[in-house]
Amino acid sequence: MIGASRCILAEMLGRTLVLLLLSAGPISAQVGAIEGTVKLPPREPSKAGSTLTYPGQPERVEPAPKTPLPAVVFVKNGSDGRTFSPPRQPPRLVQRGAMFIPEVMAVAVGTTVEFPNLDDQYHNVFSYSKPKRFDLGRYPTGESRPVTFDKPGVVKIYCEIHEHMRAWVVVCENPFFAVTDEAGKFRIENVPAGKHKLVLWRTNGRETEKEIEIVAGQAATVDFE
Amino acid sequence: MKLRSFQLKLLLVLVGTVALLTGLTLLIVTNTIRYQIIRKTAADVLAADRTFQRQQALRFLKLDDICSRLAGSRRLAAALEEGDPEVLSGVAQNEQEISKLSHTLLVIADKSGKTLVPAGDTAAEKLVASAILNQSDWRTGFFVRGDQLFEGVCRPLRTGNERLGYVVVAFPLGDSTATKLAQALGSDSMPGNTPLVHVGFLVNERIVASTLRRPSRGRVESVLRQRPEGEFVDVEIDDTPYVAFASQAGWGVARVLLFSQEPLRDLLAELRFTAILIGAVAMVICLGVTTRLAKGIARPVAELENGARQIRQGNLAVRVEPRTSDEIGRLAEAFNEMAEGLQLKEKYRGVLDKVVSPEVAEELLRGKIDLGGQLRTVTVLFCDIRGFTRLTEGMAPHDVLDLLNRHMTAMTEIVRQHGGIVDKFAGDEIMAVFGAPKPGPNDALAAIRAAQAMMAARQRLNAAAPHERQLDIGIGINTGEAVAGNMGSDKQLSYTVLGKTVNLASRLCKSARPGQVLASASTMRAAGTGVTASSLEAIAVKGFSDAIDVFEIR
Repeated sequence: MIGASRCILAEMLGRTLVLLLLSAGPISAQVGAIEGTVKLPPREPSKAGSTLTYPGQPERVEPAPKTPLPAVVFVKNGSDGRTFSPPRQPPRLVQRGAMFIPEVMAVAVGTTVEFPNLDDQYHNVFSYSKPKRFDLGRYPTGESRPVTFDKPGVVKIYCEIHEHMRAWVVVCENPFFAVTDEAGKFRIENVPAGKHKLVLWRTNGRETEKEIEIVAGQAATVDFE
Repeated sequence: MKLRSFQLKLLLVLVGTVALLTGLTLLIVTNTIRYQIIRKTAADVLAADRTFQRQQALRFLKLDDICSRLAGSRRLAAALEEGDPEVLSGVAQNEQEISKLSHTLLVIADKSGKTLVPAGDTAAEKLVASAILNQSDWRTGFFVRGDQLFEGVCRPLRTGNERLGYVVVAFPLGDSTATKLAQALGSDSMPGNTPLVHVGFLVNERIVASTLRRPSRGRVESVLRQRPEGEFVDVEIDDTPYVAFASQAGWGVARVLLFSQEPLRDLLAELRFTAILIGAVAMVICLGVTTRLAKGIARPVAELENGARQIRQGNLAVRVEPRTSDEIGRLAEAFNEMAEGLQLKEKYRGVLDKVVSPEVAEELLRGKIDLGGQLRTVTVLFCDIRGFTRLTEGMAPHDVLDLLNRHMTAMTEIVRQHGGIVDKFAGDEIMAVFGAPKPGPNDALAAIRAAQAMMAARQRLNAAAPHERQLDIGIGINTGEAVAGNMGSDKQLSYTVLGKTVNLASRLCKSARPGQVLASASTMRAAGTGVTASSLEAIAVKGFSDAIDVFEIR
């Protein structure tokens, strides 16, 4: 009990520190937000669920989500030479129901992501993408392996065993990014005021750039067709 | 010499027949067997080609086992999606090592069909292009890479529904593959033996991957080039006859099968040897049989020849022993019968000569004289010893017979000399006939001359033996018609004349005094002029109603 409460305490402390860090400094007063909607194409019917099954071991495959694949919107070159600390608590990209959840993730450079296997079968997470090549090997349920993304770019994540398992990790240069929700809505907070290039990245690899100007204390609205 | 030529002829005929039959049998058997074996070879070749195809299909399935696993590889898909050639070749190499495919060619092409791994190697692009065109999940085929023929399977690499590229897994088709195939087709590649089956693959009219040794390939290539596909061609390899057959496997590759005709050749040689052996044995048997047969025929023939020669030399007692009961034996029997017949005839001739003149005997034997009953004009002469019974009283029987025989011999000789025959002796009486069985130029005259000679002879005989009993004879002659022929029983016949003419002659003889020759008027008429006679008083003769005119011959 005592250990657990200590953990919670530490986490709370960490979060407060991050917030303090982000809000601290000369920019803190000169920030605005970006919000908008991305028109997401409907998801193509995929073969998810009809993957290889091993005899005598029925796979518990969740039906492929009907929702469209989300997109990532991020501010390009918005760091102006500053460095950002990665989040204390590493984000988790779990394997469950023979799917990666979430399918699309955005992280800032230097972030470590945990890949826990929550299925009762083996998975083998790997990527050949240039920003981060890794192969976590096969590991059983309950186990988790970390990957630190130290270069910006898009990292395509595969499972060596399951054909349909796909995920994308967009590694951004700064923490000014957002993953759209099912409806395509996004909001990026604390963007320094000024002119920026806003980039929309879709899972099909296409990127759309837009020039935006952030006025301090205001929320700029950017919609993508 | 004759024996030899006969034997030779027989031998030639028999040996010729055996040789002809052997040759014909050999020809028929050889042709039948050859035809049957050619048919069997054709069936064997077609069956082998089907096995060849099945083996090919099995190897494609084995390849696809690997290919489908690689087509499902997420690593390959990820690397292909990434588009980094270095990563892709690394992953491909890794996959190859994991699957232990050291002899297998792994080709990765992008979705347009361009080969990415191995970089710049376009050998398999035709197969990939075919997979792209056909939109099929798998495609099998052949391609040549450098000098090496490959058999390969192509499958698309996908992610979701999207084709990212293609993976080709291929085996090199080498001589070892051909050897395995030949073994599957049942060729025993025993060292020293020429193999029963050769297999190979024909690409661009060149034989690659084959059990054929390299120097032999050129000949098979040229032979196959000249003949259309699907036909059987004869080709000689290492002095062994083969039948070659090629069938399309697609992709410009043809399967080549060669079947040895040596078993056929051996079988035919064996048959030929057996047939010749049987023929030779038959000929030896023939030789033996011929010699025996020739001897069996030649010896009796020689004996017959010898017998014939002896008969020609007059030895009619010669006989030939019939050895067999066949034609030759019957010939010997016939020869013996002939000899016997000749001997008997000779014996008869001897007897006949004693009875009639040799001329008459000759005529009789030749069958020119008809001995049947005939009415002929004959002159009959009777000669009688006067008082013979009284004369010979008191004489020893032997002396009587001796005396009589001497007289008869002399008289008979005279009758013969004059062309008459002694018809019979009746006691001391002689009956002679002139004009039967063979008429003479003047039988009446001949009889008169004979009578005169008989008288003269008797006088000479009496004069020559003055101390003996003197015999006096009387002779009666008459001419007229009489029945002449063989008379008697069917067991004993004698040639004689019958009738009044005979009776009158006998009466005239009885009427004659010793030393007197009496002739009738008819005889005198028949004898014509030149006979000195005196006419006597007509006399009454017993049995004749009229008195008979009688002449005494001087």
